[in-house]
Parts: sequence; C-alpha cells; structure tokens
Amino acid sequence: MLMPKRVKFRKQQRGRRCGMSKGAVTIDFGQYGLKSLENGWITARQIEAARIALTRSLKRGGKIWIRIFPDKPVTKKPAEVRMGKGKGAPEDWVAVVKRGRVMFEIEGVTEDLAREAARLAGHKLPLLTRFVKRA
Amino acid sequence: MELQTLKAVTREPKNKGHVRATRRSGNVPAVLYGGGQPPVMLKMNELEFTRILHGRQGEHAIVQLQLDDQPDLGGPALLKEVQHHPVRGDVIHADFQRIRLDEKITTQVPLRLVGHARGVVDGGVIDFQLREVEVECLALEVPDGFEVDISDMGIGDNIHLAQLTAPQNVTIVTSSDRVIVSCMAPRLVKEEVVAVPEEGAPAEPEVIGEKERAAKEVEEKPEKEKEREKGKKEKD
Repeated sequence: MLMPKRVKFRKQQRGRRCGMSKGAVTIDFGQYGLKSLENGWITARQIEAARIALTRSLKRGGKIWIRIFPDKPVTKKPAEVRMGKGKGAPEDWVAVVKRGRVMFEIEGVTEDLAREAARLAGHKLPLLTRFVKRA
Repeated sequence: MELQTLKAVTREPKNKGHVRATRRSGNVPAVLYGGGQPPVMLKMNELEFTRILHGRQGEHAIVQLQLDDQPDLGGPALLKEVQHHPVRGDVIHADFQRIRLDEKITTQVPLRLVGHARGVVDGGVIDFQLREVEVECLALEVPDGFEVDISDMGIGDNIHLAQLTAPQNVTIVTSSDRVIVSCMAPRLVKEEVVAVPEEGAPAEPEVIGEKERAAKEVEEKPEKEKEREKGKKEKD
C-alpha cells in the first residue's frame, strides 16, 4: 500500500476539507480520467482497491496514472479507552481529495472499456466521481 | 486560412459579484491585452465562444475580435488561455492577446494520431506523450494540427518530433528529440498479493531527525547521571 518513506512528524492534526482542488483538475497524462465531485479522505487501502479494480478491468491493455498519494497520517484510539491520555496511535494513511481533482488517468484503451473500468474503480472510493475525457 | 469572427463587448472592471453576474447572464468574461495598447475587459456570448473552442484549433484559436461598442480596439487576437471550472468544466474566463498578421507569432498546435499501429495488434499499448507542439509562423499560416501516422509502429518503436515534417514557413520550436508517441510492450498480468498489515499495526515510516535526537539523548544521559551522583555525594 502507498505511504510516505520518511515523514517529519508521526501525527498530524485533522485539518479542513473545504474548497475545490487547486491543482490536478485537468487530464494531463492519459486520455480518460476519474474526477472527484466531493471532498474527503481516501485511505491507502481504498486507493489500492481502486487501482486493482482498474488494472483487472483493463486486463492487459492500457496504462494507468494514480494522481493522489496518501501522505496524511490518521490516528485512532484503541477500543474501550477513556478519553484523554494523549493522541492515539497512527492507524492509516489518507489522501486529502477536494472536488475537481483528477484522481486516476487511463490511456491506451477504448472509451467503453475505460468508462467501465472507471465505474468499477469509483465504487471503491468513498466519494462521488465522474468519468472525464480529454478535451 | 480565414479568421473566425468573434463578437464581444467591453465591460467595466468591477468586483467578482459583477463578473459572476456576467456568467449568469450567459456570457464569458475575458481580457484583451498586448500590442502596445492598454488591456480591455470584455464579455462575449458563451455559446459562440464554445463553438470556437470546439473548432479545429481548439484552445489556441486565432480570431478576429469584433467589439461592438469600441470597434477601434478590436482586431486579430490569439486565444492565450482559457480557464475552466474545476468541477463543472465550463469556461469561466478567457485571455486574448492582440497580434499583427504580418508578424510571426508563437503558439501551440495539436498533434493527432492517424492509423492503427501494428504493435497494438500484437498486444502493445500506445503511449501518446506529446500532444501539442510549439510553432512559430505568421498568424494566417498556423496549421490546424499535425497528423502523425502510427500505422508502421511495432512494439518498442518511438516516433520523435524530428520525424515530423512541418509545412513551409512554419518553424517547430519544441525540442526535436522529444518523443511524440511510443508503443510499449503489454504489462505482464500477475495477481498481486497485497500485503495488508495487521489491524492497528501499520508499518511506520522513518521520522526525519528522530535518530539524531535519540543518539543525542543517549550521549547526554551519562553526563546527567554523573551530575546527579555528584549532587547526592555533596548532600551526604
């Protein structure tokens, strides 16, 4: 699964998820893409699940670009623990995705196949998504 | 090549609410600059502008701007930049640069692939790396696009920009050693076994500077202990 090799701090504050994506809003590498229509966190597991769904549905053909990276640690307290006593242990890595972001790109396959692959990958993500084509 | 005419009217440079009202009324806010003249704020019909965007030259079209209220400010202009809404994708702003038809300009021209590559039949994948090329020529001689024939491409073949022949009076500015398109070998499909770590115990990355901090603490510890012992003896 994707995660940073080195970090400056083990734990981070949660931050906010308002606004629209500032970068990566156009298709820059492939012919088709999967765009986010909502803001949210996507975990490394979800990215991996979407990648596997894309790869399997494209079979042998095509090329994929993943344009999000889970670089934010998310902590969690163990079950049945009282509040306080410090922040929990790092549990997962997430990518902060804002609406408008092209998360995956596809190239080298027909539009129908790319559309179906994007639909399957979109089902693995916790956000509304849309299939987009290069203008 | 004939220039397409685009009608526009000037607008007052006001606040963002005014610009949003312009968009709500079915217009696209734009700006016209360059040519040694002051910049002019414009607005134009969205449908007309979209028709030009969907033309063969796309987002690098050259148009004859016709300003209804100030005809002397109009003239030939190069579409320099188009801003789209990140989610909806509709046009929110456009930049035009005044040009002279007797002077050379630099602009981007799209590359189009033609034919079916041999390598694709053999299972390869086409990687279209360079989709636009920068050219220098007179405004009326800007080609609509270059066609790249890929029908002879086998697996492992590349087509470089040097292999592209430009028409007379058109100079390609982009570096000639850039690869336009390549045909890659198919990926080997292997069922990946995803190593999922046990719940609650993810592998942790290295924390920058933590090793140095730990080493420093180890060095400082004996000194502190000595000081403590000294303090105890003095007390006794």
